[in-house]
Amino acid sequence: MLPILQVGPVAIQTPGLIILLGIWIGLSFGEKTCKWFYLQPEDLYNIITIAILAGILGARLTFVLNNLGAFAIKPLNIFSLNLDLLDPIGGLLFGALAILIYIQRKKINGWDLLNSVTPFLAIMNISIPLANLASGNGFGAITNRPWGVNLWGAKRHPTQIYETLAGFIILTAILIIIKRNAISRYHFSIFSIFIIFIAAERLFLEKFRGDSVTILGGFRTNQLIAWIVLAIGLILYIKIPHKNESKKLKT
Amino acid sequence: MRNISDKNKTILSAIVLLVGLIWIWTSRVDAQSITQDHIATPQIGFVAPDFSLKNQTDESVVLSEFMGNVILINLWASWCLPCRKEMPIMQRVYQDYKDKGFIVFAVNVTNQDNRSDAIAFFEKNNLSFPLLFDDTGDVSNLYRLHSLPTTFFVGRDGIIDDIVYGGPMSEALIRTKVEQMLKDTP
Repeated sequence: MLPILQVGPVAIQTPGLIILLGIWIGLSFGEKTCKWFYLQPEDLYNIITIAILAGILGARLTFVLNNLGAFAIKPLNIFSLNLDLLDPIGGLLFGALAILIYIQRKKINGWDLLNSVTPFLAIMNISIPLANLASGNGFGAITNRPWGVNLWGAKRHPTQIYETLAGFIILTAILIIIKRNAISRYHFSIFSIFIIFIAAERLFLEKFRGDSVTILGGFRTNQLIAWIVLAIGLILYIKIPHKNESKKLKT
Repeated sequence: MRNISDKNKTILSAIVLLVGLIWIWTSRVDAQSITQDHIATPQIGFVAPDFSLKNQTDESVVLSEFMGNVILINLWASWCLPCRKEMPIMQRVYQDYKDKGFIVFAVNVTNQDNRSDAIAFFEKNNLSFPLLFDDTGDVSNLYRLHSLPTTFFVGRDGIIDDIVYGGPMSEALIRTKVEQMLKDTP
């Protein structure tokens, strides 16, 4: 666990650094793979940059609107660099809206886009648990297994490591599937396969988490969401490809 | 017409979803085992580790005696610029919410600082919340201090609600967190 990297007088937040590295590697990687799905690298860069900027602006705007009283005293705090002053749901909505506007203007097929960003998302799926490993977040449930790690006052499942390994397996599987052109008949299936994989990952590994949010009956909320996403992914994989069989992967 | 392969896919998907439901059922936990409230460690969701430190008048201040309040524990040093910048901000918020059950503990990492500088800074800035001295560095170790300042927001139930590494924190950040915590745990 290394939440802060002290470089002289500068304290760098390691989890944030890992996420940034993930974005950079994901973009570099996506640049090479996006052509397979009929998307130009500059469009991929534009879309991800616009999504991040719109997401941050939207997250801050929503946070400010939800907490107007706190900002009324010091309005300049709206421009504070503090990342805690962001509303994630607002950020997601604004980011998604910005992407929709961009692809409509550029006449980019939505499925092509989703396939193009799949390798990027697969890399982010590795960098997030690595960031959790640095911060100590996303910790595991208490265990007496020999591979348990001492964290937060107890021996726990190393869930961050489980999730990182799962992320590598998913990335490898995605790349193998693309490379082998195994799904060329259903070229946009790669995104649905990816969401099947990550939903299955979350469904399985959530059991070992020690920070799960539960609802009535002791069910873990993330597992229920993952099951719904898994069902959507399977439906997409089975049903939708029939409408677009002719398009081949450009490998 | 759908081919046999698609039929197999549908059957396989149904099996996967069924196995998923069984897995969800076996993963159920009672809320008691998932909450971390029985372990004291400096992480969100856990009990804030207890400590006893001396204040300016050499009286002992014990954290656990203030449970029931929303507490901001700020680890700081007088030579640390961001720490100095955020102190007056914390004072303004403290002034506005202290009557509603909000307390600030400014824990000076005295093993890396000195008492006289900390007291002088407090007096110069008219800071009225408790100044505590961690002479041995035990509390810094207990709270796994990595950088200055580090701030822990502790709810009325003694559970750490948030941690902010570095600074200075904006006034809006402190206000929104304190308002939310006062609302969440009446």
